Amino acid sequence: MKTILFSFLMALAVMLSGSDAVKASSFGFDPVNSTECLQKAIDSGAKKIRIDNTGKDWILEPIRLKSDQEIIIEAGVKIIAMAGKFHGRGDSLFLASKVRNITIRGEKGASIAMRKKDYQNKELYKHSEHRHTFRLMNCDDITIRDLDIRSSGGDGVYVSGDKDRNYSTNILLENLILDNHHRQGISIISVKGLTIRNCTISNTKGTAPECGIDFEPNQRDEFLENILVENCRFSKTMGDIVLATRLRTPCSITIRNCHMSNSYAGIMAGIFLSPEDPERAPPGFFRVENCVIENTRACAVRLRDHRTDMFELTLKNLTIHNPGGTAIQFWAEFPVSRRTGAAVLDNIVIEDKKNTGFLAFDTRKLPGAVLEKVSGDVVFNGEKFDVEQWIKQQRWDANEVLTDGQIADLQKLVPVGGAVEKEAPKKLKLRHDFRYLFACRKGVPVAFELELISVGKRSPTLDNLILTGPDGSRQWLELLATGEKLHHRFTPRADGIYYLDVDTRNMVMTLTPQENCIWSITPLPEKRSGARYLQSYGSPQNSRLYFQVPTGVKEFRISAFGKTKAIVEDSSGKAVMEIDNPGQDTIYTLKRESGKAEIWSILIKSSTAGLRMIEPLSPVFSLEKRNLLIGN
Amino acid sequence: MKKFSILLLIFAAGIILPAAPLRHNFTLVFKAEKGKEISFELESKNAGKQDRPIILKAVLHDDKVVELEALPINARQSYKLMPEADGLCTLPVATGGAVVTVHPGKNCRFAMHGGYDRSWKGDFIQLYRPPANTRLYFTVPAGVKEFQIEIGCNGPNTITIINGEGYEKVRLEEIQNKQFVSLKRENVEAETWAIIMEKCTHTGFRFLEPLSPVVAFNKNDLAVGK
Repeated sequence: MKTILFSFLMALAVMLSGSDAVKASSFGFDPVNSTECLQKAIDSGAKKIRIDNTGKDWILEPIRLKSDQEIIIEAGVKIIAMAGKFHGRGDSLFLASKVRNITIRGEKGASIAMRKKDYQNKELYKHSEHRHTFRLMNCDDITIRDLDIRSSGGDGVYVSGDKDRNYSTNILLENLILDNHHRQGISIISVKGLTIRNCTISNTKGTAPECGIDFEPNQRDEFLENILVENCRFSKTMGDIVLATRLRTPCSITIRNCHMSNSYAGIMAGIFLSPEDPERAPPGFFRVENCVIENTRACAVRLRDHRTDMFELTLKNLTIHNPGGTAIQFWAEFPVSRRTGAAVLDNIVIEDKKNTGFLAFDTRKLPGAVLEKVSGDVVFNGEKFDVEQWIKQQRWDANEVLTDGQIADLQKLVPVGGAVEKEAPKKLKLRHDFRYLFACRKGVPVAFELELISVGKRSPTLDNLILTGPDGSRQWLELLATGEKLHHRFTPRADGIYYLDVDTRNMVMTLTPQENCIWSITPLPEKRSGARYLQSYGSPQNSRLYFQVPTGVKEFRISAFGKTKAIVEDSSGKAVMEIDNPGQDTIYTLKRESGKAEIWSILIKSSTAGLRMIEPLSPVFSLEKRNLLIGN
Repeated sequence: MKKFSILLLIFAAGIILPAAPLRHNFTLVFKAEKGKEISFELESKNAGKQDRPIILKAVLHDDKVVELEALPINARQSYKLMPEADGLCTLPVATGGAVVTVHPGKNCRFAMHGGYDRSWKGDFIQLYRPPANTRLYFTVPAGVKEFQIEIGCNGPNTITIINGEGYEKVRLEEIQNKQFVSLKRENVEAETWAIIMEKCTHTGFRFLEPLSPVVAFNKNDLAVGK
């Protein structure tokens, strides 16, 4: 009886639709909640379903798609996610899981909207980045086209595999407007065969990474294979095309004829290798051709950790206007990526009135990294450059690993001594990893005050400040909360250097000496790269740092990065070198006639600075000359 | 059995610390001021097979028992206590296999001990995966030069004990199972020492007499036996 009734309903629906398609509304349209009606239509197994224009919006809770169907959203139909629903953190409007052969297409003016603002309201919803409009998992032969898709609580379209098969295949996304999504316009986790054509992606804002299209596999054995993005437009995202991957499978991605504007960056690719598995560089290619990238805030193209043995990287026929920062940036961050580059930059035209160079190589986190095997030609503000030659001129291809200055024996350091300077030193605000050094005498109390100053919204408490003595004693200081001051007084039990290691956890710290406090600072190795940068942030202008040039040294080097502006002065106070906003890690070579041990200084003009002393300099600084601890 | 009322609380503004989950039996000891409502939240998480809600009965200063809303497992609920006199309020908690984290609110200054059912004799105060470097302050009474703490660990733990000046007296690296730690000092004045849980899994501490079993995460919240 049920079968007969169902067949009758189907026949009626087909008849009402006036074609071979069934009308979805014939399954019991309810303008308050149309979910059951549409789900029944889908579950009917009809080959073609028309979501018809009833004059009312289709209000839906999550819908599950079935195989072998064409779903047509009629002209003017608005599908809207139901208010107060989608509380599950993975609730998507249309879920396609282990299905195949589906086309979903819209007629003129058809649109789908979710309720991003509601999902972002912490009073109403738990945080999630997975309330997608379309979630495709382990699917084959899926087409979504001719639709206006807006305001999801995750991605407009999400494509992945699942635990049974870790990819989807043959996906076409065409003529879509993907606007105002919470996390991404489109996320591609794992796919074999994908075309994204004639899509417009814009205004992604809510939760990181806020991209246009994000190619970001979760696992290293997933796939980004046979992918084409063409004739698409992007604007107002944090990265129009982002590739962030740890893949070891072959990658094949072509981006062509696209227009990107007004975003943080146009193309951002980061390819990260596990230190435990450094030999598994993915083969394949990533090509960007015939694209325009303009008015970005950070850069047009940023390529992170693209090791020379990885897949082919080609940027061809790009036009770049007003890139914000340097137009094309290579970054080297992880120790396994010490040799980066291997890219073709072919016929790239850049108009940039702000920056002095077209290419940057950022090694702040991996000093000593080299950029090599990068070729092609770039026209920068009308002047043509051979990229390979230009890199050679910058010495970025020089395989020279610089060694940080070292303290041979901490306990042999002694203060320079001398009179108290008339003017109190400026309070340098230090950031990240460093060590305070205190020259102490047994039984003579020492006191100082630490202040931890907030940067941004975080406010950690430092709970592991340990003062270590020359006798091996370890004294734990009281907890120091952000925004607080900590007074500490101790009586040394031995002569020698006491030290206090600090990791400011992105905050900044100052030290105010209070009693018998003869102190210097030395940077500690950066956790990932091991480089020793002394980093200041938000310091008053004209802070001065003293350092020693040892006996016999006539030529030495200092490295600086970022927005550092400083003047290096010799022992007589004469300015001998200017550091002016170096951007990437830059080496400055200094020479002198004298071979005597001397105290030089660096006058820091900028509020933010990063300085590194190269061997044979000692990496010890002080704010007052008399306090500088030098080798005995 | 000591009476709650003979305990005093040292109090001053304290630092808000990352909360450390407590497990099994313990008693929270709140500083009470007549008419000043104490508010706090309790958050429970399943760390075993416990699925029944945790029954909560607070004891006000005058031994009056107030039944609070039971705390379901995997939930976070707000609680309020209205002291009727100055002194202390206590809240014994038996989490079973679950863990409970205290998030202090208005007027909430608390210490705790590992006993349950109003016993001050004390037993293991147990923590479950506390944030790195969580400190547990305890008092060494005046005149005591030698004392013992029993430490029980489930998994490799690194624990440091510091004296009143912050100097490390003992550092136990990657310890497992139970062990007694004997400590000595020269000072004879009452001091506040601390256990620093640098890296801990499921860890318990038992303070042997003449130590008080009362401990606190915040030095200024430590309840001291008089």
